Amino acid sequence: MKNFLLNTKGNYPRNSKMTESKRMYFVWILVAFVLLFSAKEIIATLTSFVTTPVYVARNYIETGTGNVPVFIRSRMDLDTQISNLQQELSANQGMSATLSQMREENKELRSLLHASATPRIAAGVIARPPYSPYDTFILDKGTDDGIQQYAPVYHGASRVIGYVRAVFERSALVILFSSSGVESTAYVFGPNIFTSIYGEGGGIMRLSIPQGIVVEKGNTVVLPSIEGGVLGEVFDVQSVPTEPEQHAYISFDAPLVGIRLVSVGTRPIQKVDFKVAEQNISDVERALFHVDVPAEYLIASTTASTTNAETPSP
Amino acid sequence: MRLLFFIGLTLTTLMAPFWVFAVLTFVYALMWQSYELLILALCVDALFGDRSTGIFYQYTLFVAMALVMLFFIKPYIRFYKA
Repeated sequence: MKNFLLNTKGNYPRNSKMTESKRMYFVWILVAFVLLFSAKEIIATLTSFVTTPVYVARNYIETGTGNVPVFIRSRMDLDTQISNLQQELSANQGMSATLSQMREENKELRSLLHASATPRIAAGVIARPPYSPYDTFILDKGTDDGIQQYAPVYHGASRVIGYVRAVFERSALVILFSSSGVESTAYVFGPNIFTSIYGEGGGIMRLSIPQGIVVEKGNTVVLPSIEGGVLGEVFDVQSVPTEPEQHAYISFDAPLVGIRLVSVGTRPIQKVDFKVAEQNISDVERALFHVDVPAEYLIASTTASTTNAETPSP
Repeated sequence: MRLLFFIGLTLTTLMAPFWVFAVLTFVYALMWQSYELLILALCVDALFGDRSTGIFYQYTLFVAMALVMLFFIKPYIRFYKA
């Protein structure tokens, strides 16, 4: 028995090196989590120095109008062509498409900057889901351009999509309201209720309300904590009569992949009380049903409505 | 080779969905003893993660789990040269 044990022991590999290696793994993991929880902002700032140029470069190649990006984008077409005349033709076609893209971008910028009463900062989106971690946007403007932390971010005139979570010198990180795990208080027109909405990721938000409350596709959802904070419309309702809750899903008006320009508010979102929230909702409601009709088409009474007017009885 | 793979992994982490990062991390950790993956995941979580979204250390947690799991699995799947 003793001989057998000695032989068996000799066949096992010495495991002190494995223990040392295992210990190193756990030490590294522990250090990583400690740094993540204690020095997150410092590491984020340092990382942004690396990531911002990468995103700017990629965005430049994908959408830039200079000779180099146009050449790279059209390279695959150029490889199949056999004459200089065909190359010139595709370059001209590319310039024409680029001009058209620039006109659209100009129009979008004008609508972003002039459509709201409060001043905003236009910013380009250089990284967006699903090509950025955690369903976030990276903007090409930062503290140097006046972007502030917790400022609301809009797409279009009044469609709020998220808020600025972290700002660096020349870039900013935006958390979307549709990011997984983000909870917000919203107001739903139609049933006219306050409720909580939860981000599901991929530009989708969910609200869960008890059965019996009628919520329909197309109902507008707003964030009462943000001035002019229209979030989106309900596009799907899942209601099983045997379940106590029904779920409605809201999406942004534009797919996240297609959002290239946004506007950022100049002031951070402030915590509001219920009265201010109700006022914001009234403002949105008024704006939803108000159209700027040119004076020559608008027919309106110039007298006060309370003079000599009798409401007819049914 | 390792450096090129790591640079490629870094770029795909910044520009590709999470599952691409997961697959490449697994392959990288299988091929090399790779503490630098933890640094990469830490930087991504520090910059993009936010406490308001719940689990904001998803990348670091995944890399930690992958490294620990592969540490125990590797001896059984590694092929040695004769």
